[in-house]
Amino acid sequence: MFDVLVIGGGNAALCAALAAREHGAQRVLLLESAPRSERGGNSIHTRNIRVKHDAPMGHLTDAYPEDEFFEDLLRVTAGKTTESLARQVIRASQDCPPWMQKHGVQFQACLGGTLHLSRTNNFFLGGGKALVNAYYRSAEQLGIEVRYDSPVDELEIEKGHFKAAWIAKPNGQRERMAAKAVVIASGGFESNRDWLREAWGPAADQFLIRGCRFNMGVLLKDLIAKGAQSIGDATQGHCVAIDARAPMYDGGIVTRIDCVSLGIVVNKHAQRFYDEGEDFWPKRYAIWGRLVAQQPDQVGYSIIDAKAQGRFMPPVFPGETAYTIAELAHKIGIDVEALEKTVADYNAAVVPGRFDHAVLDNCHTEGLTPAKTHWAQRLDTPPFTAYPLRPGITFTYLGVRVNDQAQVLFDDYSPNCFAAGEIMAGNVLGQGYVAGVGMTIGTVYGRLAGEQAAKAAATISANLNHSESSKAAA
Amino acid sequence: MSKVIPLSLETPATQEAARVMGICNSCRYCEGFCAVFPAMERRLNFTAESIHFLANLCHNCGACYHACQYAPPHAFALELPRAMAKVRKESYAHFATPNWLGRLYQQQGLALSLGSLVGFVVIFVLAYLLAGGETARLWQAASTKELFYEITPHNTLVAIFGPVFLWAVLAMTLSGQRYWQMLKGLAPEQAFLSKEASQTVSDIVQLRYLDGGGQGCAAESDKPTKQRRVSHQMVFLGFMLCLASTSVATLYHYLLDYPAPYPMTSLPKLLGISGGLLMVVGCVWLLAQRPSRHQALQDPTQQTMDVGFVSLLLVIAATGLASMWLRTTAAMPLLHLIHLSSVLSFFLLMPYCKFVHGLYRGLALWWHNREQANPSRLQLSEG
Repeated sequence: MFDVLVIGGGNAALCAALAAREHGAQRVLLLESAPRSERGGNSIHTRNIRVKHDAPMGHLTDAYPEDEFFEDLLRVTAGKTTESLARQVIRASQDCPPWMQKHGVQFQACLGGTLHLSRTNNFFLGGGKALVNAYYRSAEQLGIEVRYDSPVDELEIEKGHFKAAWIAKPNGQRERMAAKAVVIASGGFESNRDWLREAWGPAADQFLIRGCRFNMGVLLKDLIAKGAQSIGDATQGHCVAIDARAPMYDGGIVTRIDCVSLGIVVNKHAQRFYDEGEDFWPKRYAIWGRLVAQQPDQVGYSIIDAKAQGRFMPPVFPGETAYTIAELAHKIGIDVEALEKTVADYNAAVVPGRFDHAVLDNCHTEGLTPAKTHWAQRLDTPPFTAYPLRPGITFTYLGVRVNDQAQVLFDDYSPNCFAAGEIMAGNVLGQGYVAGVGMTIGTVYGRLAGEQAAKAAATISANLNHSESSKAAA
Repeated sequence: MSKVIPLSLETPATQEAARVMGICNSCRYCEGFCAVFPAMERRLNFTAESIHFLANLCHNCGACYHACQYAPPHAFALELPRAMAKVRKESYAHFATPNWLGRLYQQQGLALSLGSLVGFVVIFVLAYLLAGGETARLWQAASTKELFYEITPHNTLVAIFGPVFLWAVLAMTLSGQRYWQMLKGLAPEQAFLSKEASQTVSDIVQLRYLDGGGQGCAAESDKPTKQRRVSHQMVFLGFMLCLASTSVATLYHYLLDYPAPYPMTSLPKLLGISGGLLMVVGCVWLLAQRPSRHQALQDPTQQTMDVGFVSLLLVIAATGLASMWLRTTAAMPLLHLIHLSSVLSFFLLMPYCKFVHGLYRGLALWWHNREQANPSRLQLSEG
C-alpha cells in the first residue's frame, strides 16, 4: 500500500509529493490525469511566486513585509479571506524559494516590462513549465512514482477518513488505489463547461479557458458530495479579459491585452462600462474578465490610438486598425455612429494633464460616466487599433474548507485527507487576485499537505503495527 | 545598400521564425536563457533581416523548447530551436561568397568534402611523381625527416596551402562583411564601444549562451547538462591550439630559419599534440551526443552538414596525431598525405561548411552586445 497518494500533477501536487517523501513517506505515488506531454496543469502557465521578505532576497529587492502582503490580499479580496490561513501562507512564503531551489527551480530577475513586480514576485527562470520539469526530475530522483494519463474519478471516504482512490484508465477499466493518506491537488473546475454554465448561466458559453483542459473539478464535486465542506462562490475565480481570438484552452499569458488603461473599452453597443484608468493595470487586469462577462454577448473592444503604440506588451494577435473611428467600428462590426459618439463624448470630457503611465497621473475625464480617472488622453491620432476581448478563466475559487494543517473539513477535520492548490485556494482568495499568490498558496499548502500526509501515514502505520502485534499477542 | 544583399531573405523558414518570435515576444518567460530573448524584446516587428540576426544568436541549447508552454501538442506548436536552425542554414547559404557555392555545398556537401580531399591527395602525389619521386617511397617506412619533405616539399606545401588559405580568409571576410551590413541595417544609429568587443570575445570563449541560462544544455530532455558546452569548447580550444602550433612553426621556419620536424618538447609539437588530442576527444564526444539529441532541436536536412563538419575535424586531428605516432612506419606517407589533404579540404570549404556558424554567431553576438549597450527605444510595460 502506498503511504501517500497525491492526486494532481501541477505545482501543489509536486510540492506535496516532494515534501511527503522528505518527511519520511516511503512510497509516494503521484497521479497526473494529463499525458506526459501536457503534465503540470495550470502551473505551466505561471511565471512567478509572490514572496514575503524583510530584506532583499535573491532577485527580490527591498522588503515586502507580512503586513503589506496581507493588506494587498485584503484589498483585492475585499476581506473575503481567512486571516489566520492567509497569514500562515504569507509567513511560510519566505521559506519557499530556498526549498524550490533545492529541488532544481531557478530564479531570474523580473522580466522586461514587469518592474512593478521586482520587489514582490520571484520569477522562475523559463517560467512555470521549467519549474514543473524541475520538480518532476526531483521527484524521479527521490523515488516518487508518477503515473500519467491517470485521472481519479472517485474517492472512497468513510466518515471523513480516506480509504482509496479510483483511477479511470484510458482503456475504460477502473483501478482501485489504496493509500494511508491522500493529498488532493487536482485543481479547480474551470475546464468544466457544464459547471461554469451552472454558475454563470449561458454567459459561460463565451468563456475561454486560459489554462489546461483537464481541470474538470471531478474530485471537488466528489468531495463535496461525500460531505466535505465547501468554501467560496462558484462564480469567483481568476478571470481576465483576454483576446477573443485566443484558443479555447491553454492560451496562457500571450492572449493578454495590456492596453486597456491606455485607451477606452466599449461593449458591443459601443458603450463604455468601467473606468479603464482606475489603477495600474497589473492591479486591475484580474477584474476585467468579470466586467466583460457582464456585458451583452460577453464581448468588449479595447480601443487605442497611435500614441499608445510601443507602450504595452505586444499582443499575440494583431489588432484591427483603421484611420478613422467610423472605419474601425465598421471593421470590428459595431454600430458606427454609436462608437463615434462614445469617442467624441470621451474626447470632449478629457481634461488635459501630464501623461505619465508610470504613476497615477492627472489625465482624467470630467463629467463623463463612467469616468476615466487616470491616463485619459484623447483618441485623436490615427491609426486607431481595436482588440476584441472575451472573459478568460484561469482558475476557479470554489473549494473545500481546510484548516492550518491542510486537513479537509468534513464533519470534522479529516485525519488523512489533505488538500492543496486551487482546490483549496478559496480559503485564502475569496475573490480578486494579486499576481503570483496562486503559486504562493500552492507551494505553501502543497508542502504543508505533503508533510502532514507523511505524518498521518506514519501514525496509521504505527497503529496498524500495534494492532497486529496485539492480535499476535492475543 | 540594396545591392549588398541581392536576394530576398524572406522565405518560409524566416516567416515561421517570425511567427515564433511574435508569440515569444508576448510571453517572454524565456528571457533569462540566452541573448535571443533580450534582443527580441527590443522589437515589435520581425523582418527577415532581424530574423537572420536572432537565428544566429541562438546557440540551440534547447532550454526554451522544454520550458515552452506553447510547444507541441499546443496548437501554437512552437519549436524555436528548430525554426532558428532552419534560418541559420539559409544564412550560411545566403551570405556565402560566392553565393552559388554556398548553395551547392548545402546540396552536395559530402561529395565536395570527399572530392576535394581525394583531389588534394592526387595533386600531392602527382606533384611528387612529376618532380621525379619514386612511387615505392609512398609505401616505405623511413626516418621521417627526409621522407616528409621528400613527398611534400616545403615549396609545394606553400604553393598549395597559401592560395587555399587566402581564399578561405577572403571569402569569409566578404561573407562576414555582407552579414555585418545587414546587421547595421537593423539599427543604423548604433554607436561603437570597444568594451562590447571584449564582452563578445568573452561570450564566445565561455560559450556563454550554450548553457540554458546557467543550468546547462537541455539537448536530450529537459534535464540540463554541461556536456555539449564542454565538448564544443574542447574542439574549439583544440582547433585554436593546432592553429597556434602551425603559426609558431611558420615563424620558426621563416624567422628563425629552423625548419620542421621539431622535437617532442618543442612548442609546435606541444601545442599540436595537446590541440589534436582535445579535438579528437571533443569531436568524438560531440558526435556521440548527436543521436540522442531531441528532435525539436534538429533540422534533419542539416544532419550531413553538421556531422560532416565534425567528422572532418576528427579526421584532421586523428590523422595528424597518427602520422606523428606512426612516423617510422610504412603507413606514414599516406597518413601524412591524407592529413594535409583533409586540412586543405577543410580550408577550401571553410566558407561554406558549418565552420561559418562561428562567423555569423560571433558577429550576431557582437551586434547584440552593441544593441544592449543602448537603451531600448520601446517603453513596453505591463501597466
